[in-house]
Amino acid sequence: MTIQPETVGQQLARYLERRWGVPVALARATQIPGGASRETFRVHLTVDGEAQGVILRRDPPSSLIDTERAHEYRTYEAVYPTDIPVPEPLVLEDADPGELERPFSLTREISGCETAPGGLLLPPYSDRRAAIADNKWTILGKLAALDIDTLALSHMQRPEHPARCELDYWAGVIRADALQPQPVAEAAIRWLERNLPAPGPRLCLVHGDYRSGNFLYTADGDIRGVLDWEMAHVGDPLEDLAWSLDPLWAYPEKHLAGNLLPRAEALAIWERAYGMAADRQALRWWQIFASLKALAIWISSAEDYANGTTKEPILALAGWPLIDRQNRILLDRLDPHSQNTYAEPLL
Amino acid sequence: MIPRPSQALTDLAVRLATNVAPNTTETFYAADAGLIAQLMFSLAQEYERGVETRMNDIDEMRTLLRRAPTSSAIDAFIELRPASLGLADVNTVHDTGTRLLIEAHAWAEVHDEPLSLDIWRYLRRHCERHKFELP
Repeated sequence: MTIQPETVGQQLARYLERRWGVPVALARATQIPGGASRETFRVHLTVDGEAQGVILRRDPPSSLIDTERAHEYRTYEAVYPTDIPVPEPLVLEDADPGELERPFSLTREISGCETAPGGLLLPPYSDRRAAIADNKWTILGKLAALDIDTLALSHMQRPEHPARCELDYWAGVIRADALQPQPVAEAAIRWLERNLPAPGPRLCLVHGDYRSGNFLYTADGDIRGVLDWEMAHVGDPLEDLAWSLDPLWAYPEKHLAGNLLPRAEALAIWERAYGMAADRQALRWWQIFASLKALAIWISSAEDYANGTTKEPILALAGWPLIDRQNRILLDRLDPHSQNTYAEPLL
Repeated sequence: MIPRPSQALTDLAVRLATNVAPNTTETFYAADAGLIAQLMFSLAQEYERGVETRMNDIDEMRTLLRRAPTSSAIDAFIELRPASLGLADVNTVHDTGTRLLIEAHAWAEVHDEPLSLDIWRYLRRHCERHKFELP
């Protein structure tokens, strides 16, 4: 079904006028591509005579990642008061979406930024990759260093054994959603079971999908916002670090983490911001886990595309070519005779 | 009969990516058209090679499973042939073999290192055979 952004924008204006009790008029609305887990719209409004840009995220009938509706928004609320840059949370509507028909959340727009991973390879951003990388892994190190007892994270559980917890969850996703038997994923699960690390020294807030594409960057190398906290949870600080270093985000330049800089340099930036060295043996486990988790997400997407009600092409893209590529990355990591064709050796 | 369906799919994908997408005024729908074109490239490759790659996998899995501990399920798979060369029938046999191979790999990791290494080599060939080349 075709969605008319102008119609959604007008619905939002009517909803906000009712909620906020001031005149709200629509200036312009556009749908933002790439959102597999939500319908995302950029809406420019006039609120009581003042121009405002907002980002509306509305539940689709089917989603790439099965998450609770309020989870991401509550995480924005928890992180917004810190120095981790995130959009300002404005409205969470779960119970009575009214004119907008489905649950949604609203955040303030951070304008003048780019999000596309491909943009990092093109001028003017390609000249500022070192600065973007420095910001990217500094923010991640600072996020890992935040004291979770000072954050409003009552919507998250605190696992006793983060690695055990995450492995059980994502292995379960693979076994529940796979449309075909997955020999590489099963080999990875066995490896992860055999090499499970003990719980680390502390828990932190894990973003869960910290990669190029999920932060807003500028032409001067700044990062103004970290987005997409749907998979955020309390866990091990190395989980986000390993995810950010996965070879899937290093394409076509496999030696550059996130297409930005060599992985060892990214690790050094993270360690400096975090204030502690990463346990290398545990990091190796989390790197294999990151590739398995990504594979689980792609497998889940393929299942959703095949059996779900939403036929978003992004689900099929995640489900077909990305399963193929992630399998090759995992093979490179686990095959005793690996030639490291698609992924550099583990750090 | 369509004589060269995978080529036709590729041509349609090129048309969508180079003709339709750039002339779509809404960014969201232009991106959608680009994604659909990429998926059509993938489908064209799968259409051309789908049965052959699966049959090659099945042949290799039979050879490997002959080295695993015998079982009635493995014996049955070694004798099993697809009911037709339609993709659904070939998939059924392929999935049966892959399930057995996963069990054999788990066993070989503990008891038979040469077999385990050969299964890794098979998985490498399997992944290369099924690899998508995207523009």
